[in-house]
Amino acid sequence: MSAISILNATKIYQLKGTSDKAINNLSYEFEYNKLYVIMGHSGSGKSTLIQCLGLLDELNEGKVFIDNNDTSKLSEKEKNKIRNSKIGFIFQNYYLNNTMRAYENVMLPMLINKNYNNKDIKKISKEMLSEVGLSERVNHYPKELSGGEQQRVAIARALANEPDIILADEPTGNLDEENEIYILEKLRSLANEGKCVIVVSHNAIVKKYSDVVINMKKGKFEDLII
Amino acid sequence: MRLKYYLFLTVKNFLHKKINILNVCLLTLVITMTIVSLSFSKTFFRFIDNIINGNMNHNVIIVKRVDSIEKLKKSLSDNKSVVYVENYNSFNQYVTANNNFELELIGISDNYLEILYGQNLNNTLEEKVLICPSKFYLGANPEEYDKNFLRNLKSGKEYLNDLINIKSEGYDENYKIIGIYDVDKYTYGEYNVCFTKKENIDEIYMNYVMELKTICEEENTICSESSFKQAVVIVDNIENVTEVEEQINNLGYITSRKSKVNTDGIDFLTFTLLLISISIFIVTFIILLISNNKFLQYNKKNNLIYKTIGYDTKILLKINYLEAIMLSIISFVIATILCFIIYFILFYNFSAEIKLQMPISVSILSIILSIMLTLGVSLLSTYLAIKNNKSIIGEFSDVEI
Repeated sequence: MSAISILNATKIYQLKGTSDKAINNLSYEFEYNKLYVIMGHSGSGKSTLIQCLGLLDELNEGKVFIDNNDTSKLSEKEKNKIRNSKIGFIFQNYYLNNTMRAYENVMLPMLINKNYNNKDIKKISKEMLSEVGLSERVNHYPKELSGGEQQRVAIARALANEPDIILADEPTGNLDEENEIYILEKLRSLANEGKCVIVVSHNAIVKKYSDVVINMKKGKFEDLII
Repeated sequence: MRLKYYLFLTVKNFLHKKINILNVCLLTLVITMTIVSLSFSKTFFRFIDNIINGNMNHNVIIVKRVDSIEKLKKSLSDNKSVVYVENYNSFNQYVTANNNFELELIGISDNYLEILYGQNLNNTLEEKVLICPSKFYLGANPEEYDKNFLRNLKSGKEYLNDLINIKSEGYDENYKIIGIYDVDKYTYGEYNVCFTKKENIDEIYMNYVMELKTICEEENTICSESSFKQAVVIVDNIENVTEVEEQINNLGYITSRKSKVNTDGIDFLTFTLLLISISIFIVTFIILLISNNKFLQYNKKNNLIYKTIGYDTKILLKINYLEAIMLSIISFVIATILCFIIYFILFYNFSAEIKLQMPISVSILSIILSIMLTLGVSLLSTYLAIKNNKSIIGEFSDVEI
């Protein structure tokens, strides 16, 4: 069973009277237990693709399937639920809430998940941070953490609700080599645990940790290296 | 999501955002400006209203060369606006009270007093009775507001049911004060005006005339009797005074006003005040929009984070609403304290004259209006900002990291 798939997907951006196809009639199936790297130059459509896969943006044409379920017919509320429980997002700029401590940022996805009670949420979020090596930094605010540490907090937040799909957009883009390796190893281990991990990157080192490398150009998959 | 989580997110966002200090300052300014400007308007309009409607002198027309008061009364009997027609000398007399202060006694024994002041001299069989103001000025001249003004001002209630000695030329009697009227409400700035029965005024006047005649005879001089020929007409409402005056003029009488309102001056002041209020309102509205825009811009990043991890629009609205409400309430509390400080600074620095003539009225409406305006604008713009942002990712490029 594919974790996430697209069928005849097209995404067009309208800019000052001209239209730009960021995704051009693309079809592909992403499977569990694998780490995918989508590579390509800026403007090749890789970030747009990951955003459409994560239901953050809508396609103009085509469909996104999650666990073989068509998401195009889902309501906004149902899509929110999928984003909360099924998908974990990691961004280049971390996108942490600066007004909250590290563990409070990790708590955020769990606050709207009815499976957790108040005590669990706090405990789990601290455990998640321990898992990414931040047990000593749980009470720190994002601005008191280094870039690598912030990205680890973002990973802990992405994993808080135990999602099956991890979507990472340039997750190591702002990190030094040591942190880069730590993050990539973490993503690799998540794929090994059975999750579907899709990483967008233009950094060649990511290939080393991947099962499938996809090169993207002008909204299309140019070649696949398995 | 549980209420405590909403509160957790709201308080966290609120306390750790430096921009909120600026927003609180701006909103405090907005609310303070609204309360101060509307309270000032209320104070001014109350002052104007009291000047115009509270002072009976504006309703009084003096009619000259009246040969027969009965003829004048008959001519005006059909006009329902006319509530009192009498010889001028039966209307008022200036006397000395308790040997130390001046009083103006007005002799009205019909229903006019009851209409205007809710008092009635006919409730008692006693003849020598007075209805006096809630404040007496015991200084030499009530028109002069000097630094001893407040010290010389005494409460009329202290004199209630007391006997007060009234002296005039050839006249010396004790009067009992049987009622008090609110001086600030009815005879604005005229502190020593008491009402008594018409017969008492006649008596005081006759004694005065007898004394005058004696003086005239002793000194062998000609005493004018022109004052005998004057009458006083009181109109129920200031708006009807002009119409009544025209009617009297058409009857062939010459008239003058006891006191004339400067309507042009009041109109100018009203217009100026209205202009200032509108300007303040526009400035207030602009500041409110700027503050709210900053608030929403700053919240944009967090809203996008929440959306990404699956928070729906309803939750986002609630989080932002709660923060906007918290911001408004804190600003409102600070503004209210600020307004009270401004009020007390003004109160202690104003001269006694201004304080008494124009007591500051804090407008409750302005307080309600300011909080409603602040909340309304912030809630509405929050709603529009969140509802209109359908696409999540397109906005990430705009936000400050």
